[in-house]
Amino acid sequence: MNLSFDINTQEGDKVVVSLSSSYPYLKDIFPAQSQEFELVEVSIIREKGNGPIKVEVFGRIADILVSIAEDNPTTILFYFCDIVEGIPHPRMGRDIPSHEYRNYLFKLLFQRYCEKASEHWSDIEVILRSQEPLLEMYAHFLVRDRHLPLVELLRKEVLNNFETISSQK
Amino acid sequence: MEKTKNRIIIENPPKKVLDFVMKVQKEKEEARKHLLEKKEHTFSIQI
Repeated sequence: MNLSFDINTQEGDKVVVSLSSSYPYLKDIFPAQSQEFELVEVSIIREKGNGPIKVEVFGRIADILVSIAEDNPTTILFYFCDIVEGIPHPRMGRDIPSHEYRNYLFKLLFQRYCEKASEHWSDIEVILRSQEPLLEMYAHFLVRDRHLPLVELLRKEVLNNFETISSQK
Repeated sequence: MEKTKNRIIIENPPKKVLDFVMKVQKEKEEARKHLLEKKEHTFSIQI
């Protein structure tokens, strides 16, 4: 899968969304299961606009993601909360890093996603916390129930220091 | 539909895992650049 779309608002915002399965992360880790799923990475980029993005935009994004994912039975949606640029977040009432805010937004987005989907989906929030170096990272996997074992395998693999990857290369 | 919430927290992951995540982050930055350079998308919505 490789597609992108943009959403333009009367307020002058332009948000670009892409869905790409060219990222091999999970298939590197689980080659044996690679026929069972297609990992589709979601990217959301604000191209124009400065103020908070209206909720309707996120609603439309969720609607489109629902539609695409439901049409593709092997799809696992993946979102990595990057730290590329800041996001205005006046409603949070405090300054938080952009990746933490993206995580907050995506939880809301995927809640809506799970509520709307006709099949049973789960939003798996993955948080990596490190003291040395000091960092915190967030990612989301939106998976059908039948793909949940893959997420558990991933968790074990992370805790096992990616030994499977090491043994393959 | 039933809503399921799951969270996996990994404290102090091994260096190899952090390196992998940093690689993902770097790839995302590159992908972002390419996406912003695209003039036409599969479809466009005005709201």
